[in-house]
Amino acid sequence: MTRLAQVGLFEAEEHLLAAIAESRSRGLVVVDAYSPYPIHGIDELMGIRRSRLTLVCFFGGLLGLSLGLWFQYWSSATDWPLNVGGKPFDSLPAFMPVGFELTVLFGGLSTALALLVRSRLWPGKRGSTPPGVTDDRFALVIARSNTDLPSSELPELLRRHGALDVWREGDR
Amino acid sequence: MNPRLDAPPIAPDWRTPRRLQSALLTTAGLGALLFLAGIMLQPERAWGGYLMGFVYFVSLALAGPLFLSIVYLSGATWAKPLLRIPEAMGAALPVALVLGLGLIIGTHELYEWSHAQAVESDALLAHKVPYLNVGAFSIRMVIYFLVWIWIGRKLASLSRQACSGPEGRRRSIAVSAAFMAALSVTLSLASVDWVQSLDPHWFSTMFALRILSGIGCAGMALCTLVLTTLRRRGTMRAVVTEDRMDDMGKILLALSLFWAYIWYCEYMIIWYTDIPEETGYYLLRRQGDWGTLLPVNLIVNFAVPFLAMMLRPWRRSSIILTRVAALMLVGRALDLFVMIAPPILGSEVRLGLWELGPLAGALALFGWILLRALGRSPLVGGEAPAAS
Repeated sequence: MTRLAQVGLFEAEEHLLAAIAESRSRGLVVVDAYSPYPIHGIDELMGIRRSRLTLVCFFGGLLGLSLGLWFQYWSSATDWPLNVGGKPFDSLPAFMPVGFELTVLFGGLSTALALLVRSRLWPGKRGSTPPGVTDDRFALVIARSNTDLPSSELPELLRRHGALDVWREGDR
Repeated sequence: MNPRLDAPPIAPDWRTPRRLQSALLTTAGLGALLFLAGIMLQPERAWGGYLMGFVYFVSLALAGPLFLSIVYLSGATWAKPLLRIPEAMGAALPVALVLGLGLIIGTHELYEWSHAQAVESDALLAHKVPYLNVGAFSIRMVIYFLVWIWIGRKLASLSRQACSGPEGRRRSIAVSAAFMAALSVTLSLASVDWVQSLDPHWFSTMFALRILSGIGCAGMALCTLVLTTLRRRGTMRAVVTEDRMDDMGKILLALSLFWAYIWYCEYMIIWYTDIPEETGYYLLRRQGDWGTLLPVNLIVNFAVPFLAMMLRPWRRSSIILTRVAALMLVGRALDLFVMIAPPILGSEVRLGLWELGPLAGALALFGWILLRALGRSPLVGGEAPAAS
C-alpha cells in the first residue's frame, strides 16, 4: 500500500492538538507532529507507544560495566599482575572508576546509535521538515489506514482545524 | 490527556487526624523518657542516640529550605504545587536549635576533644583546641541555626506568598542564592563539629558532602512519603499528577546515586592512598560486625532505590514508591548509625533502646511539627496549580 500522507501547517498549539484528537477519533493514522517546543501530554494524545530506547541504554550500560571490569581484571590480575601500593591484584574498589565511566559511555553511545538506526538517519541523509516548525509553526502529518474514507477528507479535516497550508507528503 | 485541557480542581486541605497526632506526641515523650533514663544508666549510648536523632532532625528540617532554594534557583515551576511540604519542613528549625542546645550538655560524653586530660596528652588534639572546644562549639552552633532560621523563614514566606512577576522572582532567587552560599559554609563546619569530630584525629574534605547528600536523600524521601500519603487520602490528587510522582521517583534515583558517588569518592581515596591517619576511620568500620553493616548500608541506600526507581511501572506504583521512600529514610538512620556509633561503642555493634529511643523520639517530634505546619495553611496556594 502506498501511504498517501497529508501534511498540515498550523499556527497555534491548540489547533494542532484538536486536529490530532479528531484524526485519532476518526481512525486516521497520526504519522508525526512537529512543534517548536515540547508539548506536555502530546505523546499520549498521539497514541505513541513507550520508547524502548531505555532498554537499549540499560543493556548498553550493563555491557560497558562488565567489559570495563573484566578487562581491568584480566589486565591487572591475570595477564600482567603488578604490585601497586601493596594492593591485591584483583581490587574491585580500584576498578570502579573505569567501570563507571564505561557504563556511562556504552549506555550513552548505544542509545544514540540505536536512535539513529531506528529512525533511519545516517550521515549525509537529507531530511524534510515542514517550513517554520523550528520557529513559530506547528505541523501534523496524517494518513489513511483504510480506504473507506475518501482521500479528500484529509485536507478538509486539517483545514477545518485552522491549517494555514495543506499538501501531500513528498509533493514539496 | 493533555493536562492543560483539564480545569484545575480545588484540593481540600489537610487535617491531621487526632490519633496520629497523639501517637506522634506519645512516641516523642517516650523517646525523651528513655533518653533521660539512659543518661542515668548508659550515658554514652544515650547521648549517641541523641546525637543521631539530632542530626537526623536537622537534616530533615534543613532539607525544606534547601529544596525551596533549588526550586527557585533552577526555575523549577513543576514543583509549585508541592512547595507547602518543604515550607512546613523548614518550620522545625527553631526546635532543632533547642535540641542542639541540649547537645551542648552532652559534649563531655560524646567528644574526646572535650576532655582536658585527653587533650593534654595528645599533641594533635591540643593543636585543634582553638577550634574544637566547648565554648566555640556552642557559639558556632547558635550562629548556624540563627542563619538557617533567618534565611529559611524569609524563603518560606516568599514562597508562601507565591511571589510572581519579575520583582518577586528576583527576590526569591536572591534569597535562595544567599541561603545556598550560607549553607555551604555553615553546613561544612557543622558536619565537622557534630559528627566528624567524634573521631577527632580523622579528617575528610568529603565529609560535609556526605552529610549534604544524606540531607537530600532523606528530605526528598520524606517529601515523597508525605505526597503519596496525601494523595492516597484524596488530598492533592488533582494537582499532583501521576507524572509528578514519576518525577519524584526519578529524583530519588538520582539522589541515591549521588549519595553512593560521594560515599565512594571518600572511601576510594582513603583506601587507595592508605595513610594511617585517614584509614583509622574505615579500619574501625570494616572490622567485625561493623564490617557487615558497611555493604548493608550501600544496598539499602543505593542499590535498592537505584534499581527499583529505574522501572517506570514501579515509580508509578504508589505502593512501591512509598516503600522505597520509607526504605531510604531507614537507610538514612543506618548511615548515621555507622557514622556516629562506632567511636562511641567501639568494636562491638550494639543497637538497643538507648539508641533507638532518642532517635525515634526526635523523628516523631519532627513528624508532629511537620503535620501541624502542613495543617496551618491551604495545601495549594492561590496561584494556578497546574502551571507548567
